[in-house]
Amino acid sequence: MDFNSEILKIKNLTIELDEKCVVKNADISLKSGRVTALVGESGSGKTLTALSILKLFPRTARVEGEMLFKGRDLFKLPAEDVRKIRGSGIAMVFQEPSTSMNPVSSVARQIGESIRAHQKKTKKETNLRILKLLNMVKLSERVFSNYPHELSGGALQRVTLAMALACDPEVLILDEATTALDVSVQKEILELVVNIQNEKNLAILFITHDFSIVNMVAHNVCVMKNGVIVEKGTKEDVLHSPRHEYTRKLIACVPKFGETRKRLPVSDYSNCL
Amino acid sequence: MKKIYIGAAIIMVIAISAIFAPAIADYSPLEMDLSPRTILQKPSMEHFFGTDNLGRDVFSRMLYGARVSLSVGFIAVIISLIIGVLLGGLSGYFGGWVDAVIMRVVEVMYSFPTFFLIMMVVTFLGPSIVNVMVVIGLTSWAGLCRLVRAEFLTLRERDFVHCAQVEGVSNLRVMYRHILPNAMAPIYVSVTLSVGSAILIESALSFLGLGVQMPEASWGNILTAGKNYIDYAWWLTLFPGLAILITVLSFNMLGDGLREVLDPKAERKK
Repeated sequence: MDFNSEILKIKNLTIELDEKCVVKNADISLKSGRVTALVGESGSGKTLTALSILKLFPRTARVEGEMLFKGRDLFKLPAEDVRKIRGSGIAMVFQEPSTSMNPVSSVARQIGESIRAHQKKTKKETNLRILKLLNMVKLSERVFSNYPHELSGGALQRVTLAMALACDPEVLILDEATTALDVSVQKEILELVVNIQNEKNLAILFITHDFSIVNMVAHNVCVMKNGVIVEKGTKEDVLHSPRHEYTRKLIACVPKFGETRKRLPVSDYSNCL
Repeated sequence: MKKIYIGAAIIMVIAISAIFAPAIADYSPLEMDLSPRTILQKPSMEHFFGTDNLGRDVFSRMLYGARVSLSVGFIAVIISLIIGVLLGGLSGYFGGWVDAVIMRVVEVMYSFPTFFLIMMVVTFLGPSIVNVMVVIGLTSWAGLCRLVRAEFLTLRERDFVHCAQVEGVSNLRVMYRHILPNAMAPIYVSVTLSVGSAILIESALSFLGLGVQMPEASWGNILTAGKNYIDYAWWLTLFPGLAILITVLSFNMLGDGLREVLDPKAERKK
């Protein structure tokens, strides 16, 4: 397996929203078979960075920089080419499983949407593929014709994971994908993600604010504060010998058993460095 | 809830009698009999709603008139539904200049007094049932367009829409597969209510002689014919008037009932 091929490279990404810059000069690179965690508090620009990878920024946003997917700059590609990469090359799982499913359409139909958008398959082939995906995320085949409101949060997040994996993407973006779940379900999902990632040699960008998750899944870590990446390196380096003050504070926030919780001082959003 | 059942039941009765008009009617709606014994007869077992000044059976004419009213109502609304949903959807989904252009057109449509616009167009094109349907359809989509736009604007930012976009689903498919099904509730309500108003407009046009032409029957032109005899033949105006009233009322009741069921938020405000 080739662990060193850089599959997605974010270069000098700057996003301005209403004259305020929310992400500044971000550089992140993702490699096949590696999990990169993007850590930061809410409002630090993590999600916007992730959305911009697939060119899904708000209408009013001004974006600069390069987004190189296998050497092609997504920002310069025509909309139709970007659409083809969405789902089949780069896929994404959102934070809240219950809202990321269409309430009026069945599980199978929604998983099938992505397959239908990218591959020419007969109905039978599509259904087989959907069953295989349900298997892959360890869901019973019975959920095939269920509607989202009939499933639990954990099951729904598995479905959204199946949706993301439907067309064998090479890059997977998980935007706080386990935050909305309770701890035990969260652990199951994370294990599932790690297994699938190993199996498929995926490049994963894992967005989170939780260092215990980082510790569990990540190979590399980027720490973001107010839109700027303040520290990046391997997990071992960042977790054990953080260089930046902010990283140290974030790590100190992880609750330890029998200890009073330290809180992260709220940062000032008005300035943007 | 009761409203839905009452409204739907009355509409069903009217629709069935319109569809099976030839089977139900004992007389032809067009056949005249000018003998003094048959003109302007009071309602009786022989002629349920009496006869008009030309000896035609009013009940039969009203059955055939129901066909006109209902088909104008439905077809006009289908036309306005297609235009309204299409333009509203594009406007809400894409925003930007598409939205700006469509919304200006809607504002222009709104600022015309619709009824006079319809009268004018029908005068130019010549009165006929098809013209009336098309013109009512083409002039009544603005409200629906705004409604659909508003729905699309809010649904557009929902996670599952982003999710579908991230999967690489094309814009058109996102619109009709993911957004539209979630926007249907208010559309049902608005469409039901506008069937009622389309029927009302058709009756008014026929009454003024701009809709369905004599001798073809429509509730509106039965009224017109009857108004000259209102002093001594009340049945000529009462029954078509009641028919219009009851039909429009039941569509409004159905629409209102649907709103209560489909949009629980609106009910809570009461």
